Amino acid sequence: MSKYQISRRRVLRGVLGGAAVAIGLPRLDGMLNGNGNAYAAGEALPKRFGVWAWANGVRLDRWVPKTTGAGYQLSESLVPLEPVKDYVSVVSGLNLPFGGRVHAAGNCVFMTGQRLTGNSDSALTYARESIDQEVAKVIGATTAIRSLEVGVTDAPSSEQGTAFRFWSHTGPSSPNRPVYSTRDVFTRLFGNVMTATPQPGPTAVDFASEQRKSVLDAVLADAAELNSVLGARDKARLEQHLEGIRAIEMRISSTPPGGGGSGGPLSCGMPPAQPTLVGGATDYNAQVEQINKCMAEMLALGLACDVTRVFTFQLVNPGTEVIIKSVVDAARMASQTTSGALPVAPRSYGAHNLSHIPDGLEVDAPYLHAVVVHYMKELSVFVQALRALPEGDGNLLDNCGIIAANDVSDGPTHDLKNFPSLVIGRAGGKLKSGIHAAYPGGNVLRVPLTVARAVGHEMTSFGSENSIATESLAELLA
Amino acid sequence: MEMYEAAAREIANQVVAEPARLARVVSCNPVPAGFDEACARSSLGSFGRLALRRALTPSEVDRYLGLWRGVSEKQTFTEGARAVISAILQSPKFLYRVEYGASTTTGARRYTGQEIAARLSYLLWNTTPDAALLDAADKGELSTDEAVRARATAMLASPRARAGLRDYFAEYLNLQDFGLTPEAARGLEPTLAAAMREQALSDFESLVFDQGAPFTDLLTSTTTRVNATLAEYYGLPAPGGSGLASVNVPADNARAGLLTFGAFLVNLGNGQTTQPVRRAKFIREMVLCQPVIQPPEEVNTTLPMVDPTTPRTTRQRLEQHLTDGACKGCHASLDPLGLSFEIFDALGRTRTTELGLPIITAGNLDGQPFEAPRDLAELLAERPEAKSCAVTRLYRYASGAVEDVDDSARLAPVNAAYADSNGKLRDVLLSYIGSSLFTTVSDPQ
Repeated sequence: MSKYQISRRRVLRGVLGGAAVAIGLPRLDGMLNGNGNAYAAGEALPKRFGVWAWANGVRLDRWVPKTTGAGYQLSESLVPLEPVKDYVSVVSGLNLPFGGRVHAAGNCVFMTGQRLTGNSDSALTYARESIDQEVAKVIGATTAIRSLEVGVTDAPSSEQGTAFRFWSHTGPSSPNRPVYSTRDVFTRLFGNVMTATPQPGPTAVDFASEQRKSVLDAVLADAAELNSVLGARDKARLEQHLEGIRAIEMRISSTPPGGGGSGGPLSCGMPPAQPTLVGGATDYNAQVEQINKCMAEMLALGLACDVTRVFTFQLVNPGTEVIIKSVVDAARMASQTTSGALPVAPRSYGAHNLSHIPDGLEVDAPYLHAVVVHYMKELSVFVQALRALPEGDGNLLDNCGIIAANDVSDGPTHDLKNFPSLVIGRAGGKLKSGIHAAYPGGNVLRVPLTVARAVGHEMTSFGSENSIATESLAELLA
Repeated sequence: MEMYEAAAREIANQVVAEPARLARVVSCNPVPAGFDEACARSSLGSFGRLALRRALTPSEVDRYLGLWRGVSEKQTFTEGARAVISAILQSPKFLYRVEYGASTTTGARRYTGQEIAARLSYLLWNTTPDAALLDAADKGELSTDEAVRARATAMLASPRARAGLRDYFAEYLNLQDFGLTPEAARGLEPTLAAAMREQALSDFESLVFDQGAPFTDLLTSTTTRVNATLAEYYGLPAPGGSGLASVNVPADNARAGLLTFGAFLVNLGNGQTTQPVRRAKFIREMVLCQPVIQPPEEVNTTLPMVDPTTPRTTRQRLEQHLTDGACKGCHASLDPLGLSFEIFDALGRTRTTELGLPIITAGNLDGQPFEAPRDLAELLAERPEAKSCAVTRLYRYASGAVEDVDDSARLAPVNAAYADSNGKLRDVLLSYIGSSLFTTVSDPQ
């Protein structure tokens, strides 16, 4: 243990490109107790909650591991997770209730426990806030950013309702849009660049953030005036709006400007340069993999530095039609027979179409399997990025409760039974990991319920109508 | 909210960075260095009024003056302007349309002149009310239904109304980004998708503003506005010149009317399959205002793949819809409509066969037989439901809400206006605007 007692609120100040930057420090040895699992003042290390999302289902026959319990044997789809296997639990055999408009229903019901709402495809949205937001209200109340939504590719499905594109919502028709630009994620997490023209010296930043706060105070006062004349339903809508503004104020307030205070040049290991990769591609090319890695590393840093504790990470959008040619062509090459015959090329390389179409050798979407393996490769990169950051006695992943999920079970039929979900991390010791928990049926909403409770949200249930989950998955609890 | 805040700050930055733009907000010249109350007040008066679509209240003026003064004293007057612009653009009173009304002697609440100015401007010109319109409101020129109607007539005559009402039709067709971005082109070459979008919107514009023809004519019209590339794509005679121009569809051509062109055929789909049930759903919901319910949850709606050795047309593959007791309740009234359009593929091209098999276009609309899409369109145009639906759809767009029982009764005169004018949308709009539906507040929820 270090002989220095360092205040947890210490921030690093620096100058980046002429604009002052303030960044929270990760937990340092000096802040922790002797066991490395709590702060010197006695508080436990914070837990993080997140959802990592892919789309268009899996080939269930290749997804579900054949053995169960601890030390399960990875299935074909999950092989890329080998390096982090002991942090990944697989839950199988549970079903997603309700159904509804395909693809959107998957993420909606999983994240809200309720059916889709909206009276046409272009209006389909969530009926309430998603579980990440519910959890953020409890564990993200004091961080600079309440929750961060990150996206890697942005190929739309053919529908336009918010449920078809976004996993996280603060309410009906109020999605939390992912940030697809690595530069913007960087700025949001680590930069407090205030004005369009950066000015030298910390004093300019003082004025800018003070100005921002004064502006937001005026906005809140104005809104309060409006609130007094509204009917109940409009009041609720406005309250949602105000919550968002208060979250911004919190963000500005928790990174105080100005200098002062000693402290060594300890840092969160800030990325050496501001990344410039532009995400949001509709074509899954090699650059997408770089973006995935960059986003994963920045998010890991953001979690370690306690800038945020809640996230959703959309590798692809629900029902996405992202073009995924290189992976599929590689799979075709790998299937080349000894006589040199190649499987027929799919008529479309869009990821959603690939989840439905056959080729000349097999009947049900073999390319879907190759795509799923690739997604799991990207998930592996993500999980490794979190595991790489030391925290306390262990690493960041030890204090995370993360769910990896997508929008259907069986890709070709859109079925929702045996809904694939992975639980990753140990939630500060509350979760066991590296287990395959297999069930003979039941409600998959128990997965988000279990993980939300493990990170500290004491929800009594999750779900609605006659599909309300109340019991955590005992097999996953430590 | 973060996006709003970032956008508001960015706009404020851009305004402050350009003297010419700043002059539109700060009304005094030169811009003072320190706080100048007179200048701030007059600037707030004009800018704030345009932003909030009405004059600021005294407490709002005090609030923003306070902000301006506070920032000016620490920095400069211009910085104060930056802060005030950012604050006003984030106010819920700017972001949301507040329509509260005021009580009248009759007991019903009537929208204020400024609220009516905003309703007129957003409905007809799809933009915020300009100073001239707000002036008229302030002078009390929008205080009677007749005066409002007269103003609307004048606004409809402006070119801004053409651009404004195009937005209605784009929403009706759920065009979204179709034709605007390559990603939303459904696999079409982007300029072709753009031409299809423009075709639909300019056909609508021409019908409403130039021809004054009934809305249902859109379904059956034998003229359409295309460019040379699009005409060739459709198999229509070429228009003269290089741009968009009107062409006549020959009587023996399979195409006529909105339902046989790209904005309907391609936009609704995914560019891969024709999706006849989706097409039929549009007809039922948007043309006839008949609700179509979702399939039961346990039903697997994915069509099994076609076995190449035994080809079947889409119609054949959907047979089960019409024979299975669980399906035919809904599908008997959907599939015959959508399947008629099978002679247009997923990208809107004409075809006569599918996998070498002939395509059957005949079907029935609630028992009325038709031979081909053109005949179906004729039948649809004659249905009384199509006429009242044209009114309903416009009403929902204009009011932003689905009509309740009370509204339906009050829509009767608007429906009558449709009948009397033989379906001219202009007259329908004016009838609606001149009615209490537009000018009085319905009960709050």
